[in-house]
Amino acid sequence: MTTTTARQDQARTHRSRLQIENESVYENALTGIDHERSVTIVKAPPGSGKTHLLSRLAQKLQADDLRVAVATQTIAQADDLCRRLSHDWNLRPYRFLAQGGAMQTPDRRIREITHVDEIPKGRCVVVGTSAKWGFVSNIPPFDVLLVDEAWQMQWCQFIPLGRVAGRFVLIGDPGQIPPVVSVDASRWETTDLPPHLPAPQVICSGNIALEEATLTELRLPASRRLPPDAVELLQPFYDFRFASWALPGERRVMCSGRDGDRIDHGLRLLADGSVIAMTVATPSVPPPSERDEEVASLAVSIARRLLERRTCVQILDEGEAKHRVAPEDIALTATHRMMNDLLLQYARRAGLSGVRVDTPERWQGLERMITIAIHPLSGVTRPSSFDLETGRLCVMASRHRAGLILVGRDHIGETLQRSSPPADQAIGRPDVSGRGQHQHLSLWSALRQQERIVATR
Amino acid sequence: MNERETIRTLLAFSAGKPIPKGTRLLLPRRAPSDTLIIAFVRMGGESRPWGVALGKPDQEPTLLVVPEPRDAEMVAQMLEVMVSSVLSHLGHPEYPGANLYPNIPLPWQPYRPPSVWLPNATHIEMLHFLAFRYTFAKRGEPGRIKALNALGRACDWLFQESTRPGQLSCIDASAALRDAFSFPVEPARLAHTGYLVAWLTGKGNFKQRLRQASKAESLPISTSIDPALERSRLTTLLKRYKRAQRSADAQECSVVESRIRAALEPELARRFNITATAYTLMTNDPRPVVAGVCELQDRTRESHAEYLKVEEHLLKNGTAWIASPETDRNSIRAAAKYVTLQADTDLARNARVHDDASFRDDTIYAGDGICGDIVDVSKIPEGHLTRPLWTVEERVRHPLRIREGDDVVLAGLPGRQGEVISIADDGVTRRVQVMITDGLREAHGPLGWQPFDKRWVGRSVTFLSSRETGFSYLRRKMLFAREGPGIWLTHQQKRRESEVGEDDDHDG
Repeated sequence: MTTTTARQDQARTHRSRLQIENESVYENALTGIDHERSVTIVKAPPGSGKTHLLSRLAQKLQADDLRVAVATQTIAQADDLCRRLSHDWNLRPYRFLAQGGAMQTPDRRIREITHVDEIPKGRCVVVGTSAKWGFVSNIPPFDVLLVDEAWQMQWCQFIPLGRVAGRFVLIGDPGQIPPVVSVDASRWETTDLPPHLPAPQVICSGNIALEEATLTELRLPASRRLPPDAVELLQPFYDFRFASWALPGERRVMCSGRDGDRIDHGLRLLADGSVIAMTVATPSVPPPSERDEEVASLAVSIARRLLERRTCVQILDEGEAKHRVAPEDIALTATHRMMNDLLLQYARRAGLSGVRVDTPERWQGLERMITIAIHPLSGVTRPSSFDLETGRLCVMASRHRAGLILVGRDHIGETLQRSSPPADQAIGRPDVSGRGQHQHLSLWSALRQQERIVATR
Repeated sequence: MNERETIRTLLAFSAGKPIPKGTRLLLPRRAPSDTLIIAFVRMGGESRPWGVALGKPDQEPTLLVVPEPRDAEMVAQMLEVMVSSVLSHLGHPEYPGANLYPNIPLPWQPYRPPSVWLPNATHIEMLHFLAFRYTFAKRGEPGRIKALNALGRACDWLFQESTRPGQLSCIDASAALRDAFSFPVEPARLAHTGYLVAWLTGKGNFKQRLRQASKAESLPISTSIDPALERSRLTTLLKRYKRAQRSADAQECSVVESRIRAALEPELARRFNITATAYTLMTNDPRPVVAGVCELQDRTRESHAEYLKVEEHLLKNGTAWIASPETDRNSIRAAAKYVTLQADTDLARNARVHDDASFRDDTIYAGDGICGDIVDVSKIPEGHLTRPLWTVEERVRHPLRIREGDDVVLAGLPGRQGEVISIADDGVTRRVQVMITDGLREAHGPLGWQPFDKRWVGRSVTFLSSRETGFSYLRRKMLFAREGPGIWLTHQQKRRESEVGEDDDHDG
């Protein structure tokens, strides 16, 4: 009893400390906005409440009689944010749509507008995509522009937003997949403000003449989504420290039944730690990296076993004592669409129709109780810069609330130890592939040290 | 190499010779008089050219050679000779030459983009080197420096063009052949223009053609001179030339120079002739040119006009803003070029995909297309409007990149666009619902039916992922808008103390 009370006290202290830190981020963001020319960058780890902070700021600023513009990166994000602002924050936002466009599901609390003339002159919150804000002319100036998922926005997409407002708050997760660069951007690798890099990264590079303006850098302190050991494993992917909202022991994955084979053994390990890896032997002929049937089969077998074993998850920090895992609670993900296609086929054959299979790009912003992810380096014996980019791994490894199972060939650790990163970056630019290799290696080595890599075949 | 490329290679192997890739050509046919071929040779380990061949494909080339390629002044003198040929071909206002192009052609005037052919990518890299070396060069005889500065800017424009998808002005001969034909060989050997040309012009069965191609492959085509030739003949001659120079022996200098010339000229001529043959092969190819080439030509015209505008300005005022050959230091200009490059990529793809069945199949194979039969035509509300909803069923043959919410365009009919509403896939059949958003009138399309028309049921259609370029070009304009409360952040760049590459190490 005493132990339980002590644990509860510890949890209360831990979360109230994080709450205070969260509060101070909010306060500091508001202080930053006080200056006539200000830019505030908020770095947020996965599941740390980005949208909550943005919505709260929007509500407060509107209450202070300010005109607030919000830029999102996709139409779906804009629609979703509008719904949340109206239902959760009691606001009446304007949804600034493309000419002739409409919200997929109209909502009477959200006013749809398509022309700048329809933007109200007084206090308001107007939500549009960054593309929409970037296209329109003669925008009546706003007091503040809030940017959601700012690390997904390239600098060239941010430039036209200078016409919208004089004060900026950019919120996003720097560890996620960088914006897609579909053309050869090598010409701009050495320029001061590269147009293809994420806007917050460019703003913080020190190459903008801020003069009398203020630049404030803040970070949200904790992930509400991830268990504490997952946070530790993901820490090398970030250049700032963050914690988990949960304390050790508050998140568990519990499988019933006896240990039958190596898969059962692996799943048992999830009872005392949220991350494991399961491997299959690497054949002497290099395995296919895009469409590996053995690895796909193992991933789907794990999902089926989780359901067969009537697995339950415990999220004590949110008061959820026991939740029985359903197919809808499981995510399957791989970086290659060919592999995802194979996973989908196998999942269908196994009768797992509720399990969602998708690429990490599509999983961004979503979460599940358990994620089964094909390791991006599985089958890759000579990693390229693209392979060593860790954004996709970071997304795959940060969707789960209770358990993450990485699946791949057993050469991954050895490949990472043996290979040297290509270091093909332009002179004077950061060694992204070297850093990627270090991050990959630190995750895999930590799992190996903790004896959480299970060889199944 | 993806599966379709592998199949094409196997088909070529089975035919025993190269086979046409695609049903259309991307490059418009140009008369020999409208075409300029440039080929270089350089010493191993040196950046500067040792010799240049240039001329029209149906004429003997002008061959320029210096005895000592490490002598910057000599190389500058040689390059000065090529200035007028290159600049007049580009329609430079100071070098009217044949005056092929009105300087900045008016909209109603026929426009023929410059057409400069080079043997392969290493020769295009030489253009980049010349741009670096001479665009901002200051030291040297003023008249020559002025000409070389102009040559540097011209080379920079040509090099930048060569990297722009869908460009028509600076053509890598090996890339043009690779794009138009599938060869029965491994990809690593496809960079050698001589090898490709020998395959295409060779006679006989597979083995005979392979023998001819292998023989051609043994002779270098890149800018670097054959190391064996350099070691066996040229190194000794260079040493002799140096000695003669030191002892001011003009007669010996002249003798050695002619021997160096005799060694290098056949090398230059071979590179030139192979490029000329590649040009002829492409010009004589019976396949029609893609219908979308007009848009590519318009875009080339725009880029060409930008280059000529700077030259006009320099001629009139003596000064103009000149882009660095290294990078775009100005943030807004860099962003504008980046956005334009994205749009150009889409423009080049769109120019082909509606017209070239093979290229379209490649696109579908890559997961960027849906090809099936319309099984239902219904209506769907969108806001306050009602839109046509087509349900298309296709056999599942490959993974799909297109997702719900993505914009698509009807293949062969760019005006008819839609949005994917749902995708259902049972592993055998894929059922895709597409809401038609554009091209709603009867006049759109060869059948003359509105998308609401039930007669569409049973028709085969192909939808491709949409890459709308108009907005991208508009985005470029918006970048330069300098009015707004936040331009203090978006349009304020720290000034650098000095710009590397604009002051030093550029001599004539």
